[in-house]
Amino acid sequence: MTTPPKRILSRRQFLALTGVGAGAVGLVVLFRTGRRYLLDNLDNFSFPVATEPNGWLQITPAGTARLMMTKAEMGQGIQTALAQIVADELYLPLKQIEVVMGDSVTLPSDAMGTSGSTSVATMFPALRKVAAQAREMLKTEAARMLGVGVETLTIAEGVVSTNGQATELSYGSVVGGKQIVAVAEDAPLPLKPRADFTVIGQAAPRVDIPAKVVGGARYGYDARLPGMQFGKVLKPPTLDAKFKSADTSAARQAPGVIAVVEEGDFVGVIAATQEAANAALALIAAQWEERSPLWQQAEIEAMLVPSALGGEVIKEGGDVNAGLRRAAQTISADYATPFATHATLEPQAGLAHVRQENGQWRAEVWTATQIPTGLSAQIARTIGLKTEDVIVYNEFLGGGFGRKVQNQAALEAARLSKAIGQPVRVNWDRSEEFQHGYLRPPVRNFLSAGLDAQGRIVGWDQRQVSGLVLFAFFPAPLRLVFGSDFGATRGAVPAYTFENHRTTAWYIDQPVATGSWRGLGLLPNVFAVESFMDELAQAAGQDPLAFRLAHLGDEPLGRRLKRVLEKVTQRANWSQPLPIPASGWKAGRGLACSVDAKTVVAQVAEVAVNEATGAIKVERVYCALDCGLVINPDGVRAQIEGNVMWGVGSALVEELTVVDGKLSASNFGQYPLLTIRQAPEVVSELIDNPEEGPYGIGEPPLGPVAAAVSNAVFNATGKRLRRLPLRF
Amino acid sequence: MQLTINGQTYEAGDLTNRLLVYVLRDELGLTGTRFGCGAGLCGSCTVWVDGQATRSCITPALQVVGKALTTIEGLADTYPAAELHPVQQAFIDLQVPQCGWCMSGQIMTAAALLNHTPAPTDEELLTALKKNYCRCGTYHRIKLAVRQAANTMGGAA
Repeated sequence: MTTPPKRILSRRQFLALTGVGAGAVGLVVLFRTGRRYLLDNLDNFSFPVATEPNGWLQITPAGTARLMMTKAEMGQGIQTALAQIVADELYLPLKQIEVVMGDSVTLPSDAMGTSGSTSVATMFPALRKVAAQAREMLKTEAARMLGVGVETLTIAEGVVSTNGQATELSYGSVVGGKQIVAVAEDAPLPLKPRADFTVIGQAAPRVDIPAKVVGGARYGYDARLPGMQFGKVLKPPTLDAKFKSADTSAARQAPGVIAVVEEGDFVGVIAATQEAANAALALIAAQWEERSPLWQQAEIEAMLVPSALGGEVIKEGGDVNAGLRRAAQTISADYATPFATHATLEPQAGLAHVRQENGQWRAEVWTATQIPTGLSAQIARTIGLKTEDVIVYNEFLGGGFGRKVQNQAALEAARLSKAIGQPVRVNWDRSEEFQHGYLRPPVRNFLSAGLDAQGRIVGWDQRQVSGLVLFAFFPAPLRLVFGSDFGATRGAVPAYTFENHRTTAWYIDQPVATGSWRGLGLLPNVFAVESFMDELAQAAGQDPLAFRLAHLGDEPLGRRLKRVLEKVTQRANWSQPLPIPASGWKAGRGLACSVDAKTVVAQVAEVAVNEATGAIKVERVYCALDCGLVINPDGVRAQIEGNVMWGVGSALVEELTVVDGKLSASNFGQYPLLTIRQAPEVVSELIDNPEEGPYGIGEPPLGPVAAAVSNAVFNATGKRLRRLPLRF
Repeated sequence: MQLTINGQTYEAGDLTNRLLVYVLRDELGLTGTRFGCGAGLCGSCTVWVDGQATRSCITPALQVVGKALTTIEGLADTYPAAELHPVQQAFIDLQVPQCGWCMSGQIMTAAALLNHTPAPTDEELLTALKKNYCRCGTYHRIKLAVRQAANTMGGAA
């Protein structure tokens, strides 16, 4: 758990909790400390959260609590999970928590954004403190109003009781539209004991779902303003193409065109409809200096090799070379994962209104972003405004998956809007998404391991090479500070206890833009590590389950992993033979496990393989998962199901290559996604472990999927496939 | 020019060279119909044209003048027996949506299926829905929810 930042709580501190007057939704910010995250306690990429109630919570006259939501709702159910945390600590029923999606100016700032499966893990301790402080302030005020001692008060369902007798007072009447200011001492804050949670741990219906089944939910792509125009911006035809010139005369004459904006290599059209903007852009004749020869896949793949020099040892123990020397047998294999894209079904979107009022520039931007705070600063830099003059309104995200930590469409909209002073919307189309976003980079893992005569791993040497993931978003000097791209290496280091082991990582700059993609390196790296563990089990003549258990330690993490492995194999009847498959098909099952964001996961995949046609069908995936305290069990199950589908898509169908300087797909015709027909049944088992965590859930269940499927294919056919997507 | 949508007449302006999806979303504010691919491949933009599930991102708006359009905003009204259409209700009951962007298309496609085929077999269900992508991967729950809706509407499971 994150400890509170000393800078705030090591001194007496003024706290404020604002009530909302009837009809007026005013927010008074007394102190700005509640709006900042502090960077002085970086722990697993999480940022400590200021825990002053003001800025986070408002109490309405009806006694409901409004929770200001800094996290983007992109389908992971974060609004509901965070509301559950606040409800429990305030002793309010869940339906009395209102979630408010604010804007980049009034919300507490959130440098972490919504990424890395960190939201619940970091916000659980923070929001509990926020809510507990609010509750204690309300109790103190209630005691004053009642003329009784605060120690006589209890609260249930928001109603104040003294010595067990209910009073007329509720949160609403205690605050009554005023602002309570208190001085906090350094005394420890009383938090509700975990054993007393009544809202946390219950399957709560998601607060965002009702609007999503009637078409009422508002996404970034849906933003509209009166008088809004439609923009589209010229893109380079091939990788590394440099802009030379553009003839825009035909576009300027095209029907519906309002303006053509030319600022160096930024060329965009603004028109009265989306169709007119699209048509006009196609009339621009641009000259480019293209790379010669154009980039091809083979050249890019050849970059992915560990060079003799360089490479950063990210984990090492014992003496790997000595271990390998004394091995009875040595096994080597290399695994590869290709480029893949996010394919959020809602493409990038931005509606900007940039204008001068009384000589003062001001920008309003509606979008769907995983990092609203970062985006407002980026927009300000792009169009030469001050960050405080840019306000970003974040709507629902039609999928995030790491794609919406960058918002190119919003930047384009801001530039076009500034040029004409009117609202301009830039909604990307599918081909822009495919060709001009950024991808999951290709990853290779070169593995060697030695087994002793008893089939125990005595040496593990892993060389991991990846295109950029988080380094793509960092200023270059930070590469020297970190040494390895810790996004690319996510999931690379095995959780097993090996006597002698070494993992070395290389990052490679490539001409294709790459970056964050659900789980970052997790799926590619676990595919390699857990497939290789299966190969080693085979070489050792051991059952894949027994082999894994034998290489796990007795420290807490090892015990948690053993538990999910045992649980998932029980559930999948691992020791019983699979039913006989249909004629022409072979059945198999595979096991894999991983640790990510402190959540441990084990999965068994059941597949049917038709070697004659090359068809692989994933019939069923069992998943046992331990994320510590479970906030919303149905939400956790939904994330398991979604991650399984995402992982099966990567295992079976998803791949982009570079052909003649372009990516191989511009729409779903060339890059099909997994369909409902290919979707496996998913059986989830949540481990009861409420005394620790909560840990992340948005990505960890993705870790083992591809490896479990690949191991199942091997089990069915005896063929080891070492490259995704799996093909015979 | 006029369009008839969810039983109402809308003034939709000049529809020459216009696609139905943009007319619905940008002109008329019926943003519940989502744009996903622009090529009729993902299903996010599915609406009904005279009761038939249709991809609005590849449908010229002029082609549907004089026809009865139904969008997700009007689906519930096609089922007066309840506040929501049984498919919508089942998607809530089973907590199907995650990000939700594909859901209007999933629901419109599934509801059209049940109108024509009240008791679909597994094969019919998968065939009807296999061209509606869900990137969040809610397929498992979609199958369960469509079966529940079929039961509610009186079709045998």
